[in-house]
Amino acid sequence: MNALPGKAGPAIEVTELRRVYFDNKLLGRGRETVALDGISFSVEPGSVFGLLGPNGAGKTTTVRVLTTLLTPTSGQARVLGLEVVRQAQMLRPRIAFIFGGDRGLYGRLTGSENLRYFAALHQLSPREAKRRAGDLLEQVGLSGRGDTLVEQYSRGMKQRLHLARGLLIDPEVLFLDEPTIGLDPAGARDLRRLVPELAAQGKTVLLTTHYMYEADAICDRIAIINKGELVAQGTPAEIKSGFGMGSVLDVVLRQPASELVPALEKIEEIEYVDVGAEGPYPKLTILTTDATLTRARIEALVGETNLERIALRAPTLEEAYLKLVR
Amino acid sequence: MSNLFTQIYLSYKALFLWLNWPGVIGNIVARPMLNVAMFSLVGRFAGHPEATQRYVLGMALYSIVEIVTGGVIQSFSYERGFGTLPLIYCSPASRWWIYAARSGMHYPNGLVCFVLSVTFGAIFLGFDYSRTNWALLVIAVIVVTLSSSAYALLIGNITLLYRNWTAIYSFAGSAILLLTGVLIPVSVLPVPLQALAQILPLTHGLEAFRAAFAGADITVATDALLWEIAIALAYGVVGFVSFRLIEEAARRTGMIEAGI
Repeated sequence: MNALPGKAGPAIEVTELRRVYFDNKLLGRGRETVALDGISFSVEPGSVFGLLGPNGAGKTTTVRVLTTLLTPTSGQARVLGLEVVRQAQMLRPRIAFIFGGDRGLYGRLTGSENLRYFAALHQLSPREAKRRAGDLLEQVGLSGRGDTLVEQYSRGMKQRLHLARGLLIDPEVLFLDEPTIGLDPAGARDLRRLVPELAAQGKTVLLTTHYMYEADAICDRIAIINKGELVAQGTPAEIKSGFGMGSVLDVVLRQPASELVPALEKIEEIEYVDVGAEGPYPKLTILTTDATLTRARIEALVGETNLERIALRAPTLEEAYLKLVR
Repeated sequence: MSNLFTQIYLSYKALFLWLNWPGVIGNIVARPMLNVAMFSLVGRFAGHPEATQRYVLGMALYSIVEIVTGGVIQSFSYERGFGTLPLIYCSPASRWWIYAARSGMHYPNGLVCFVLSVTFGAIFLGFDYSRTNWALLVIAVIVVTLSSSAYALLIGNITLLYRNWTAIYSFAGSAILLLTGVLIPVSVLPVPLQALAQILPLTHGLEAFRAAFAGADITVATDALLWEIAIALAYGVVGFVSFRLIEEAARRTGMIEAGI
């Protein structure tokens, strides 16, 4: 999953990218929404880069700009060294993008016909299109279902077909926008195995996802966007350990303690408290900047008799993410 | 070239339901038959038997414009509905090729509809084609097909910027139906509308077509044909230039990725 040596420059380079949407009114412009507010990041060739953020953070807008579908309001974006607005025509044959969900396929065509159609759009010869379609349907686990109408596909099958479509042209850069949405666990696992394989072949992959374990498992680097701004970037390990994240205390109680949470939230060094369960016992997950002090305070608040277990650990990516976007 | 045919066939099959017998019968056979029936009744109630012939022949030629223009406009909008528009505009395919693929199957549809309308006129209403100048009629039909394609190119492009294709289609179709002499002679329209009619497709082609039906020599309709060709060229050039401008505008406004 490491970047390929010897290649000049980043595969994706985004500098101060800003995108503002306007609600068009009958007379002039209406309310403006800042989708991206000056984000910058770069992606090395042959690596997997994860773009994380809550709904509406600007992930999909970033992908749309990088895939030449949307013009940025200001700033610059280059993919494979090509400027995405002025050199879009040169860039398009070298990239592909895949989005999650049911849209983006023709339900009245079979899976094979969908691939043949998109192959024709990308100027593949009919013979090459047929060969690639057969190979890819097999690769994504749809061999034997190529002649079925896509409207009869399950959501997971459609997602696999999206992936096959994206790989038709053997792209150098692949954009995956929430690719495991709707996939069953086996399908999602297959995709998570495939992405690093693609990177190992030298392809650069940029993926957006809501699944933190997915990003943690397959991304070389991650950027977290919130409200159009980049709030963190680095390797998953850097994000988890860095940025003053502190540590996590898992506190398992013997008795429910609903009044405890507001009291804990008032403590200065505690960043947040999540309430869950471990078997029959209530469990508090506490992110803190001072584990020793917090532990002492908890023991004083809860009392030894109500404390089943207390354990210190490093934050997960999800916890780091929640801290950053809250 | 084989890629173009693949696109023509598959885009038509993907976007329209007409590649089955009920669809073909409904759209290509029943529609002209109902048009002939309706306008023969309108002509009868208008009290002018010659009006029936005028209406039916006008509607026959109009069906080409209606099917080609409607088909192209709908294809852009259906792509938006399926969520495939971003994939098309993210591809390196020539935009001209994409347009040609989306209009390809509508030409035969329009022509079959036209031929059946004229045939039903002969069978059910006893239209006499014995004097018809067939060469002129064929030329007029070809020229009108070209001009309506160019018109569809421009109007279809505009739908890239707006979700509401029905409003654009209604406006574009109604303008042709009302102003070009299909039903109402251009000469009775208010003067500004007469001027507008001169730059719409079909107006001059229809004049040549009616002349062909009346048995006129091709020299009588030369001016009308040349005007129709000039209008086809003008719309074609504007439509072609607008490909890039409208696509750039759609990328600026975010309309390529917008759903219905």
